[in-house]
Amino acid sequence: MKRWENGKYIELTAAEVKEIQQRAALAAAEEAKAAAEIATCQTQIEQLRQKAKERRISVDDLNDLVLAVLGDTINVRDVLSER
Amino acid sequence: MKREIQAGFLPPSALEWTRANYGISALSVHERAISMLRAQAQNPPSLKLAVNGGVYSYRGRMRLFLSGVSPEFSPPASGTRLDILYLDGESGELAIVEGDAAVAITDPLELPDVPEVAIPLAAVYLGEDQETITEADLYDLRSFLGDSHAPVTLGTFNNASLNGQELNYSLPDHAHQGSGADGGQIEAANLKSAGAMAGRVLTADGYLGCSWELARCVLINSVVLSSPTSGVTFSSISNAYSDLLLTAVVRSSKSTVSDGLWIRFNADTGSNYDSRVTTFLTSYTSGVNRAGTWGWVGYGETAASTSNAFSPVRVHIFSYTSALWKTWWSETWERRTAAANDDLIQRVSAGTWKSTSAVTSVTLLWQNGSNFVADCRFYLWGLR
Repeated sequence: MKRWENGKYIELTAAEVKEIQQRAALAAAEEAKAAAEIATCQTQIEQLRQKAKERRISVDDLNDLVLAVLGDTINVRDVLSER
Repeated sequence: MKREIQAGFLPPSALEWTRANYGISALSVHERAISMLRAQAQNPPSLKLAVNGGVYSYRGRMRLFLSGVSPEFSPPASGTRLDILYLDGESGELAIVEGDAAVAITDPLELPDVPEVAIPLAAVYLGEDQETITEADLYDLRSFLGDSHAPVTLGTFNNASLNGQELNYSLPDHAHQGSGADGGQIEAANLKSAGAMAGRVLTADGYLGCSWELARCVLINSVVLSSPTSGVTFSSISNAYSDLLLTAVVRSSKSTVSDGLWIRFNADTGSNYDSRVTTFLTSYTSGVNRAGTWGWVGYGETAASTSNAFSPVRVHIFSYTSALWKTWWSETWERRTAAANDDLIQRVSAGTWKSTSAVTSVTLLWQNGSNFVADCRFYLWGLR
């Protein structure tokens, strides 16, 4: 692997390679976490939607929904728009 | 003794003017507009042109051409050619520059380049073994409103300050006027300090004299990557500017959509960066990174995007030499595969690098440790 600096392609040092590998691992973990959060949120939304269609929404469901919208646990808007 | 200008083919006695009425300007207003420096076919026609006398401006000096006959044109052995008859502003002689063979008459005309000293007078359309030139072969090239002498660069400062400095400069040959050395010196007493001056350019032209070049954008360094590269660094950045502008088109080797684009200054990997990136899709979202080890510039296209899709990047780094903490403002754009509205994403970022050191190097890198693919382009500009 190489990097470019002021006109020269420079072979990476072992330390630089290690830093890149750590960065990649961290990014992959963050991406996996975000994907899991999105999946969880989508599941919850679908469950609520189904309950609403069946007229089975409970007070607890409404409480969860309010907290989700207000951001106490999951901020629906932000999670859904996260890329 | 001054000589009078002859007006074309008309004998002086046929002209309406007299020196008593019009002073030393030898032609009437109409004659001046029509005749001065006009190239015409000879009578009888030949392969030479007659050029009327006239006044012209060359590098700030008014000069008089007393009329004359051009050198002989050499028609092509086959095909056609557009030659140019010009007046050499320096020597005052008529000269010809030959055009390319088999040229067509197009709009604009495909004319050959002329020397820097040339004042073009006429283009001449020459055919195969043509023996004479008539008026129908001529295209008037005279410029009636001034000339187009570009400013001449006298010198560029290499010092950060003008205090006590002297400007040594050398004049290019074509800027040399009159007698004297080709180099010169402006005395220190005539120079006033105006902050960071290194790299500023002093120019002179024939009309306005010397002047400092006004605010401008200077390309400091650039690269078009020829192979995949993990990071791009511009280092040893001069302190001659007020701000830096980094522009690029980038694409990451990451296999899934969107890769975070990061910035680091002076190779600082400490927790000295605060930044926020706001993403505009159909809705918007915003993320922050406090006390990060990198700054957020935005995101870029990846291998999951359509081929040939690269993200434009613009990073403005403010007051990069000051002792203040450094700030930047940046923008990126992605279109991924454009399969859905939310594939089209605009991002705006800003941040602070909590350092009082002058920025001497800037590095761009990908969040996912991926590579900038070949053909990514990076340009670092100095603003002043």
